[in-house]
Amino acid sequence: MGRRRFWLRLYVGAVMVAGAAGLIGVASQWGALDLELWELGFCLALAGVLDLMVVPLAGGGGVAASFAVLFAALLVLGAGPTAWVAALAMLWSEGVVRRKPLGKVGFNAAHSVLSLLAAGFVYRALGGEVGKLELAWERLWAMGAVVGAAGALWLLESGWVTLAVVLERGSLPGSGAQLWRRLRASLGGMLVLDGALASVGLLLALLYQSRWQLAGEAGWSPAEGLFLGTMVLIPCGLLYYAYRLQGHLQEVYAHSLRTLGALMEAKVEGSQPGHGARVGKLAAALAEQLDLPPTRVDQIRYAGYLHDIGKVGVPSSLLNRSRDQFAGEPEPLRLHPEIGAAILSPVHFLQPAAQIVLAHHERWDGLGYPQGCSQTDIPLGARLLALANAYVGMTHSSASPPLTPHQAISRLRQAAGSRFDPHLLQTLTGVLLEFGEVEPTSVGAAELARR
Amino acid sequence: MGKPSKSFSSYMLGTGIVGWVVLVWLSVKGPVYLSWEAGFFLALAVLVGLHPVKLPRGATTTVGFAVDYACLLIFGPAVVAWIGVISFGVLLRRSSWLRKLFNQGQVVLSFAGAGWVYRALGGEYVEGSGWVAFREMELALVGGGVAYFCLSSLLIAIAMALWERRSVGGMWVLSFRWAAPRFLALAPFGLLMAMVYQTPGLGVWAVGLFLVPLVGARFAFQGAMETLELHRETVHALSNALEAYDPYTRNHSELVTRYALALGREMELAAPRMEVLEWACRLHDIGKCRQDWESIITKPGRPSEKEWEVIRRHPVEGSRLAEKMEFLPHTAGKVAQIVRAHHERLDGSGYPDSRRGEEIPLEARILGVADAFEAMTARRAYHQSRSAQEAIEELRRCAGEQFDAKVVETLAALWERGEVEPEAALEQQPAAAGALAGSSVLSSYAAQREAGGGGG
Repeated sequence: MGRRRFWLRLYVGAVMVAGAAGLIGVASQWGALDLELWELGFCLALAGVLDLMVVPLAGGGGVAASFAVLFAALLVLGAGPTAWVAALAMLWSEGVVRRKPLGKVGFNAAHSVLSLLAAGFVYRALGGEVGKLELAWERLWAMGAVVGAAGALWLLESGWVTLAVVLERGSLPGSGAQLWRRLRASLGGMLVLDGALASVGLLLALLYQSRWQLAGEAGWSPAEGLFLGTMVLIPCGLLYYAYRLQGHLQEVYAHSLRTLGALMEAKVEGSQPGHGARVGKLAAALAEQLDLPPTRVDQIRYAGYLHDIGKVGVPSSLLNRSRDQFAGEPEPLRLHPEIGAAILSPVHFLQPAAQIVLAHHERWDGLGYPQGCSQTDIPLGARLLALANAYVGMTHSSASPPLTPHQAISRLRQAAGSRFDPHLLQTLTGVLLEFGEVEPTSVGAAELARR
Repeated sequence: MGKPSKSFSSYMLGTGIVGWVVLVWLSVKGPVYLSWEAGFFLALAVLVGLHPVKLPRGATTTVGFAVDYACLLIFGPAVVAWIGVISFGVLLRRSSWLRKLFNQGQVVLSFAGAGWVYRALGGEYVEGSGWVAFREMELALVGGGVAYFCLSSLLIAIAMALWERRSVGGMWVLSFRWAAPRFLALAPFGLLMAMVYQTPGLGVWAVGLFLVPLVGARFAFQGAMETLELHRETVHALSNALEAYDPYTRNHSELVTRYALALGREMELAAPRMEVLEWACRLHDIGKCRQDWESIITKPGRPSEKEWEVIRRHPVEGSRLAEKMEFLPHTAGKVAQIVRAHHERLDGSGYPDSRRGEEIPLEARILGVADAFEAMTARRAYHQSRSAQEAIEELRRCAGEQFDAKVVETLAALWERGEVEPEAALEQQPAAAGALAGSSVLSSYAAQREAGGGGG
């Protein structure tokens, strides 16, 4: 516990110090720049507004729409002033509006500054000139610098956050494979959005440069500034709305499945209200701990919510017989995984979840049902679900006195290798530690030390 | 719907022919501002049209309006009408010639009208005058856009009204409401494209940069719509399955949904309200708990006070559960409201809130009638079913006090036309139950379950 906090703190501290140093270093060259105050103010205002539009990403972190403005400023005003704009806008949006903890705001501002300075360096190294963009066939190679700068921003922004998330989750810096897997997922998630925002930024930069022509005979005036503002706000707003809608609907979908599971619990006698929701949450956390891809984690979560839905097909007279967690169950009840899978499988999207539901009563030693398969023939999701199901059943039972997490873990350990996959018990203790359900000093710590 | 009527076909044909005549007239009379960049915009229009976003219920939408509007401001009506005609020719290459012809005519007439209004209000075209101070012609910009939108939605609404044999006005309002938000979002986009296009040193390549955010947004919207459809499919399948194993509710919600949607369509409810109605029907009985219900229904005689409590509670319980399944911003809370009110009576003697008359939402009144009709006509273990004729007479007897008379009469009309048939509906098994019946172990098990179910 202490060790992983140490690495995280060291990393965050280093980034913040480097970011601050970068800002000061840039400010010392301020005199050499030919800048107007209103240009900075304009960028700052736009970035401040767009910073409020953040699309969260599955693996932690998110993409703010201000990326477009910052990218435009990078091309037109240069990296130094842009870094200042980014830092101030971040302080405003996260510190003042969202009231995030100061450490987080500082870290986010610092890594933005570092990314922008690096991207500015890449832009100049590839032959780009600040404030002299041209969109012409003859100078197509100049676009290479623009693409390079956007790529550098994309890579670095993913990198900073991914590293922080990995360190926060307790992995040590040595686990390179895990870092790489997460980085790839994060890069993939950001690609389309960053690409779209970067092209809006490029458009803004081009328009800004030709602002005198743009204004026509009427001449350059604040109205043109307003026009440029709308220019970015409309596409960015459209993108933000579409992505938020998608994210919102996905959340709602998961919520509905949980409710349907709860509905089943209300209809079937002898079920524990909230059981499915708890199992889904725990099974998904186990899958996340194992670094499974987000789509698989989701399927495992859905399977957890609905794993007992097949019980609606079992007569109620048979359901409320008391039974021991480890003893055999009455024959008709043994049909519920199959019935559940049959209920879920007509929904094409839920096929993987249906497979998991089908196998959630299989045992590691092959004595389970319905198919009696053993060890790794049982899908990983089903093995996780079986473990989560047993743990939640023991700790939240209404029939028998519930066990403490401590007792439950030791009982599960007795059954490891017979009922459960023995390798997954460590995963369970890891997750319970993270949830704060067990103290590091109790069983969990011993388990962790064995890692 | 049956065969398209004669007036429908002749309207389609007529619009197409008038459109082509206007197109020829526009091209001859001029002015035609043609430049090679028009080819770029044509390609853009086709590209955007080839990748529509699929909306629920089979409708589609594109972001093509932004491109069209930009073209109008740049090239004027003649060229943009040609762009529309050619792109429809490509996009609808697999549709019937009548549909293609109508759409071409429709787009030409809309652009011709929009161009005329734009011009009359003092608007200019980029290719015509080299530089247009768009800032000084807000009125023309708004007028042109609104004219295009009104004409196009009117022409399409007439076709839809003739096809579905409904009033043009109602159809126009419906399609207007459906398309207006999209139009409002995309028109500024089109204007921006035109302004970027005319800026020296930028031109057509910079317009291409707009494509990236548009494509990005399109993919996100597509993802959202797929999730929405998936959500509908999932809730449908699972709630049917939950019902299918319960002999007291088997197919009930499925049939109620079918009747209520037929009623809603006939009473010309707008699309968002139909959406709410469908979800409310699907979920209206989720508040019923099987065990409590079984004992009350199978027991002879009037329910006791305690049992009444249970009965009265189910709309409240149901609305609580429906609230948890809220999915869309524009339906937030409404589904739960309808579920809560579906046992209210017009005279205020219903439950749980004793609301009366117009206080009860129309959707809830429709749901109430459909619910009662299904309950009376269904063949269930515990009661003798009535014929549809008898059920409608019973509904008519209670109209005004318990049920909305207008809804009841609509139902009677639908039944007389053969569009609502409980007997036929009973023969068809809903999808989820059918899928379950496919597996032999389960179907024999389900049959056993049903046989034993009467005993509880």
